[in-house]
Amino acid sequence: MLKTMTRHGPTLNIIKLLVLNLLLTTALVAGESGPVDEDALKKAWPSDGPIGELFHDVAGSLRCPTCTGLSVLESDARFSQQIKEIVLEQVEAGKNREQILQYFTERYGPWILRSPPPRGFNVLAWLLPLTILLLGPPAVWFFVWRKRRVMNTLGVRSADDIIKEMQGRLKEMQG
Amino acid sequence: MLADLGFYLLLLCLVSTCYGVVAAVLAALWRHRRLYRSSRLALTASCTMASVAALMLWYLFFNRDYSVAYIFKTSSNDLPQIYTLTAFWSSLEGSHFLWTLLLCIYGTIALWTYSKDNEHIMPYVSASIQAVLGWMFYLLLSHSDPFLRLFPARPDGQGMNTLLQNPYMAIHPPTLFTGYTALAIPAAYSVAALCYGDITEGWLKTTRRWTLYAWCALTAGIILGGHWAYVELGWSGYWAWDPVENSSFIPWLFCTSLLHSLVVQDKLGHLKRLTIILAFLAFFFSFFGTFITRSGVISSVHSFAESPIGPNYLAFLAAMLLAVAVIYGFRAPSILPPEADKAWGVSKESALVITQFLLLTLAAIVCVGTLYPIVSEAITGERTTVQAPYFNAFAPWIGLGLVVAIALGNLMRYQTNKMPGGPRLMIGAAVVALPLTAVLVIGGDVMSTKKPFNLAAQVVGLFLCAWSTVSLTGDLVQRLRDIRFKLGLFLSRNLAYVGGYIAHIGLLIAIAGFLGNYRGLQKIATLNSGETVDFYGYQLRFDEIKELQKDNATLYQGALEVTRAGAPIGAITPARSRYPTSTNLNHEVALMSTFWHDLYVTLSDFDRENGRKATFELHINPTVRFVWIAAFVMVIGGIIAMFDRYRGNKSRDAIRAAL
Repeated sequence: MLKTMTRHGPTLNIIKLLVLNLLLTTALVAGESGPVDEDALKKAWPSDGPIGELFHDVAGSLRCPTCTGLSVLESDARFSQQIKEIVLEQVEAGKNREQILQYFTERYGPWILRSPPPRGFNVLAWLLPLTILLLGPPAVWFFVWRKRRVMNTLGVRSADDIIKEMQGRLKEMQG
Repeated sequence: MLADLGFYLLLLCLVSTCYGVVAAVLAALWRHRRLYRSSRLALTASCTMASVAALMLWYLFFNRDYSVAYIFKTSSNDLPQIYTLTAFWSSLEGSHFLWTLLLCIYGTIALWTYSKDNEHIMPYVSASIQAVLGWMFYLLLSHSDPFLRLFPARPDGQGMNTLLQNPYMAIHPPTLFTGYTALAIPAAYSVAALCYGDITEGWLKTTRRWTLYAWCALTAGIILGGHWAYVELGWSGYWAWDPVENSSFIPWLFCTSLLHSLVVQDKLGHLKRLTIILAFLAFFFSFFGTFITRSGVISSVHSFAESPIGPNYLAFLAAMLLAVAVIYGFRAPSILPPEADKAWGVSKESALVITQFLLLTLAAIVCVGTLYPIVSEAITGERTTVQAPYFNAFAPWIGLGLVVAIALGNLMRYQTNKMPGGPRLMIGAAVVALPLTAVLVIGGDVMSTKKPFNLAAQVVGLFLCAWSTVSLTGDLVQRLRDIRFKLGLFLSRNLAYVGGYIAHIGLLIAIAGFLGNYRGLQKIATLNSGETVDFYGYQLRFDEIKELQKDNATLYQGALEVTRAGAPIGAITPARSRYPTSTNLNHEVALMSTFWHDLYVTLSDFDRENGRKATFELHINPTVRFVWIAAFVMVIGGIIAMFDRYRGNKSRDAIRAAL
């Protein structure tokens, strides 16, 4: 509720796993999370042209491993920088969106994608909202509009009856 | 010494609320008025004692008493006065305490400001509020004691989370918590109505007022939180659909839905049970939000066990749900529509039901998306992520539905399928909306959007927002014309309508503002001293990085001179700040706002040696200001609606006559 958590900092073991992964797969030198002092200034990521568009699209679909809620595109955490470098490399090598996302899914699992791929159990996450949207109106019809005429059964009390009953209770409470 | 006293005060609060629950339940069973009054006094006493304890904690904060563990954890000697004040709620214990304190305060206010014709259900209200409070005090003492001592006392504290050292953190948490805790009152009234077995008109008026109050606070609180994220976190957005944000949005959706349900109940007497369910769920989800964000359950199922407060919350949530479900199961059949002659048809009440359906569907989607990673990991063992792209796949469609429903619903009337002047108004509004859309499209430079889908979404969206706004205004004018523009007369009787009108316009402005997200621009530029970068008509010239001291922070400031169309329009100073208690560099965002867009600049990196080279992230964020304005308008609308006079309250008049 209160945003006491920073956007950085989920569980430590994920970070460790990622450090390991990054070291193994990319041979990039990854330090502990945190220190900002870097020697090289940040790369200027492309923002125009077909390369820039594909880069934005892909980097926007991968989650920042050390933040909550952000894509690698929006984050300047160290891991995100490294992932962006790999993305850019692959975009420049001529790979398409699916191939690059596939590359990351193989290494980190579907966890790296910002929305669950609609396969297997994950279909549920996509079907549930659609089901609610499609079945909702019939349900509303069934529960509300079907009762066009409310029958005046024995249980229905008029406002006056409620008031009478209420007065009775209050009199009891006077005691 | 004072800290121990604070602890004992909280302990007394626990005792007093426990007594309050027992007394209120017995008062309800025996219909004993004096017993009920003593339970009300018990809550008043708890409120007083909790307030005194809070003042003590503040006093200890200002005295920098590090023998209190919480103060050691969240403050330090270099902390400025204003943040010493807000350090109170900067971590678990304090924010829990604030939550409890606010619930005490609103509970007490609710028990003393009842309407005469609700007196017969007040024992149930008192019992419900104090049952929740009792649990909160128990948790406060057992799992998150803010007065816990730490010996030997250290000379300096660990310092406040640097991200929270922002003026918005002074106002965002209390506002949001006000919304959460004020929702307890409609929930308590609902449980009371169930226990009693029916709903009076006075019940509705009181519940409506509290719901509106909570709604205003939630609206303000959520947007203030977004504003904090926007200026503090430096990723150039105000809403990331992260679990913390979602857990504040879900109660808002329930609360909004509840307001619409109350309207139907007011006019027709229908939807009584739905009102009761929504009032309870709104509060339940504000509690639930506390649970999922506090327990750490959301980041991983495994971290669940690490935090002891989590299972306790879960147990309480389950108990609360079970208790209310049982009461509902037994008592709901006795809650019936009052008269048989009000039937459903194609009319305004149906439009209100559709609106509620849309709001609740969005609530369900947000809930599914927020909880899905936990459920999926528990069932399949595979870690998944659900972030913005998932929510953005659904939310715009719901928004679209809401915009249309607002326009059509407001033109309709209750209990009739006739729309007075409806077709003429709708077509007229469409005609007037065209130039309005043109203004928005040209002013906001919408045509520069590259992707055809995004462009189409914006143009259609802006047109529908404009159409809906004009339709609403047309309806207002038509109503005014019906009483020959006697404004005083209109306002004296229709404040609820006027408030609703303003709040709906606010929502439409907000949606127009959200559409700006379809056309944001960004660029990363690395500049040497003296170099200039061109960006969306702006030229920014970098001078050098200066190091300076501000309060407790060291700023590394990269001044940029901004010119637009050849004319200098000022300097902006994006910076990174380093606080003495942390090694991280925080963003100090530089903003240059116009009505149509914000130029949003962060300093992402700089040459540590001589400060003559730096990398900047430049963003153009269109129509962000619309969202801030919209929040203001919505809250104003809500407040106006709160002052709607009581019109004909039969049950209260009857009680007045009897006493």
